Amino acid sequence: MIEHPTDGIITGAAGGIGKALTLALAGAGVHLVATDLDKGGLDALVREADGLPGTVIGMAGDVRDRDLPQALRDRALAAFGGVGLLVNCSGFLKDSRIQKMPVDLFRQLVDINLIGPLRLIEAIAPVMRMAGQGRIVSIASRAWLGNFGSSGYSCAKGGIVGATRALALALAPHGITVNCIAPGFIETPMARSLPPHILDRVLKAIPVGRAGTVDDIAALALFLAGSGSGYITGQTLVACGGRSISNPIAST
Amino acid sequence: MTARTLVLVGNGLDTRSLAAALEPFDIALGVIERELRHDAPCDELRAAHLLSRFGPFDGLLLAPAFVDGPDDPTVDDLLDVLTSCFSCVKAAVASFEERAVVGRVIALLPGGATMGEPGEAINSALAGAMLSLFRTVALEMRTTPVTVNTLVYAMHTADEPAGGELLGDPEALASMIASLLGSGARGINGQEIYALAGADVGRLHP
Repeated sequence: MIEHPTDGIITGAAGGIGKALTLALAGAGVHLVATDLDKGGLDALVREADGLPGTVIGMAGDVRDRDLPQALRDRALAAFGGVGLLVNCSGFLKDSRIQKMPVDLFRQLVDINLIGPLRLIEAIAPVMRMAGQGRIVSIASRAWLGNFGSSGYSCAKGGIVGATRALALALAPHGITVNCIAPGFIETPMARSLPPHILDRVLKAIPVGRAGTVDDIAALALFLAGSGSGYITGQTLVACGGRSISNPIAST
Repeated sequence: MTARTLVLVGNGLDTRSLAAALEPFDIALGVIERELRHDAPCDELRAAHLLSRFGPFDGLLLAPAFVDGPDDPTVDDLLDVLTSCFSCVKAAVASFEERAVVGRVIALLPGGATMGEPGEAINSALAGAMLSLFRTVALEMRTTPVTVNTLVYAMHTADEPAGGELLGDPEALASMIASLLGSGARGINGQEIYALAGADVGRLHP
């Protein structure tokens, strides 16, 4: 039987992927402190999770806030007595070719998609080390392989992949695994807002012929959080319907 | 062979040996040391100003890795350095396009941090971020005369006296840089060359 940590923290919990992950983990009995910038979305998530085996405590916050990691850690320790799982799911995407991307936007993309998650890991890893076990799962992106128009986003996600390798090596002796999931094009409200001709072009570049679903990613995260993945660390699992082995130029 | 000028923006990497190794290829190296870890991140205007110090340049080398110092790098340093790298790449691309010339942008990354090393999380994050930034910019530049590539270099090992230099094999690195500068390398774009003498074989690349 697959077992999961009893408690954890998840960021970006009210977003498309984050919400599915939160509900899947709570459904598996993981008690969670869930955070998101969107307080209304977070409140709705907490209501939706009511009755699941795992408790979901909502705590609104911005991952760029330097004090948030400690606050989340303290809240989880007070409520559950430990943090066995950290899921970094916060994200922000705004594309532009490098010539047109303002430096401030680049910095914002890196701050949210890379620096925030690293701060969380810095705050939570010592708790896991003390416990001698833990699971860290970060949502990266297939864009880490390079993605036209995504210099800021892909740079940040590449940073997560790079850090994951070093952190996995450092934390492996302490019973902690560190992995990434790199989703491709996932059907979320943001994806559905794309102009039809762009959406059509994106879908044509995906060999399986469809967008991924948030449940595709939740299933992977549940696996990486569970006892069945204890021998997997430092890896980036790509869930993109084969897009990463097809011709990237086709969709540019 | 035409003389060429490269501008290297680094973060404390000792590059004297690299500059010397580039001389036989008639490549002058203008070094802007430690500008990546300035008090404030480099914006576009400052990056353009820095690069223009050396006149019309043929290529930009970025060597952003943090080297050993009294203070360990923090995630704030990482954010600043990545911002500065982005500004420099953007300024270099703008300069090449404005002058309508062939341009080369090359990242130099240390092998250990790039492949992943315990205790090197910030440098590994930096290396991963640079790899992905360069892949994406290479895609965006693929129909232009600008190429964007990464060279992963070996460092001196602990049991080998470094003699004040950090680069394991500056001559080999210089040779690869010279190759990438040549017109024959115009089809090489978005690539990562692991010049680690095979130390990376058997490991997954990031």
